[in-house]
Amino acid sequence: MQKHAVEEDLIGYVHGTLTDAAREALDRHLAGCPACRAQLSDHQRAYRRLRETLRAEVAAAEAPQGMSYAAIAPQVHRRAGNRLGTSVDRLAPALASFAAVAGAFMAFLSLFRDVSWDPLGLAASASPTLPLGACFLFSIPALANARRSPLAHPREGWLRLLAVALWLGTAFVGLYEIAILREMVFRIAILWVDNTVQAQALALTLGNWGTFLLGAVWIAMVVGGGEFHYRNFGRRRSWQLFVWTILAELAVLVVAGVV
Amino acid sequence: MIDINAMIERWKSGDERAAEALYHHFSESTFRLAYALLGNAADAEEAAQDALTYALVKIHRYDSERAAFGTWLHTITVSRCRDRQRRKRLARISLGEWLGWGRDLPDPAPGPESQVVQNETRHALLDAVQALSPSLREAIVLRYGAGHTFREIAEIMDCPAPTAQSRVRLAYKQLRQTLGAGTEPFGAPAPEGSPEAR
Repeated sequence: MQKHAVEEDLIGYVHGTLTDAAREALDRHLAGCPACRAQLSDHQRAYRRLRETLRAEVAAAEAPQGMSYAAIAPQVHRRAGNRLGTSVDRLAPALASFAAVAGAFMAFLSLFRDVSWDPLGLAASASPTLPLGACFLFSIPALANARRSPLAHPREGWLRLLAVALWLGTAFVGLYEIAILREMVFRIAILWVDNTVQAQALALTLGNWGTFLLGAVWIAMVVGGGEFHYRNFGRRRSWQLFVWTILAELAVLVVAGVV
Repeated sequence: MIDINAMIERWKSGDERAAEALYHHFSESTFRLAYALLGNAADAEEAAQDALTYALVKIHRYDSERAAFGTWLHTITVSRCRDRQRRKRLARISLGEWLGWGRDLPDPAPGPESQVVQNETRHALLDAVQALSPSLREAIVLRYGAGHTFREIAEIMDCPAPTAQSRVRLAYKQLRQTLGAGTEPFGAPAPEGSPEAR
């Protein structure tokens, strides 16, 4: 019995989303399968009708008479009078270029051992600071041109890998921070405890209940966060949540170091 | 036929007539995109005006190497529509009503003007599009309604291109399922002998 084409492939064929290899394979199958050709024709008809009808219905929508340039003219006029934005736009590429050249010069100087800041009146050696300064200066043009970089639009596979790595990484760090948080709470709590016996009892209570509660919170955040990232994969809100999670975990580590 | 890039450069130099020309050139398409996404003229007008105002006031943020002006404007329009839908979802129920307090609080849903809008004739396909999830609705409107490429849709929706493709395909399937039940032109194949059956 002949195997038929998968409907997803037929829909992809109609929408032009198949790879060249998949399209060629489907073309070969369609040449010898009338049933799949009929199904493809059906999808092509439906696709054309949906597209044409949606365009017609949207084109029939006329903008209300109240929607006019006059309604927004005052705000646009204020922008015309404010030339600061355009001045900053002209300066930004020049600043980025200057930062790149200065960073390259500092990187070159860092190759030498005996560079000092004497010309600037500072006695300290410049060698430890030159690489850091070069990195800072290079970051300016890098950030200014980040949106143009191919790295700003990676393939979906790499993005998925990054998302999974971030989710797993933050989950493991969160697991480690259960112990840290429990330790922090205990250190704060024993400040109000008078003797060793009370301290031991407190440690036992906090240890059991703290681990239970923090563990429950951890499970909820990992599962809930995982579902959120799955539903919003690739969107800005997902990456923002990763950033906030990492910042919160860093904050816990910093506070734990202080306490 | 106006030269969009020339208009943009003139507006960046401060020529307000260029801003007005850009507005008139893009206002209809911006309104139609907002209308397809939001489903009513009043909200679409506000979203479209917000988007056009932002695009013209922040013209210095437009990067011609990254996208066409129309694509950039549609990105702003989609963002404004999302904000409007988010505010509507949050305003659906007031805290007092949720807590069951005695006083009847005003309904945050549509007022008289929107009631008139609701009385206008609704189109079956646009109704079905409104029933889609927000991401599928955006994808199908941008592809079918505005004619954007998948790369442009990915740029506008801030998602990878394969994700944009799969959303359009999924929206197509859901529309066929929704409209196919009793709506012959979209769901069932055309009868034999009709031009479409050939």
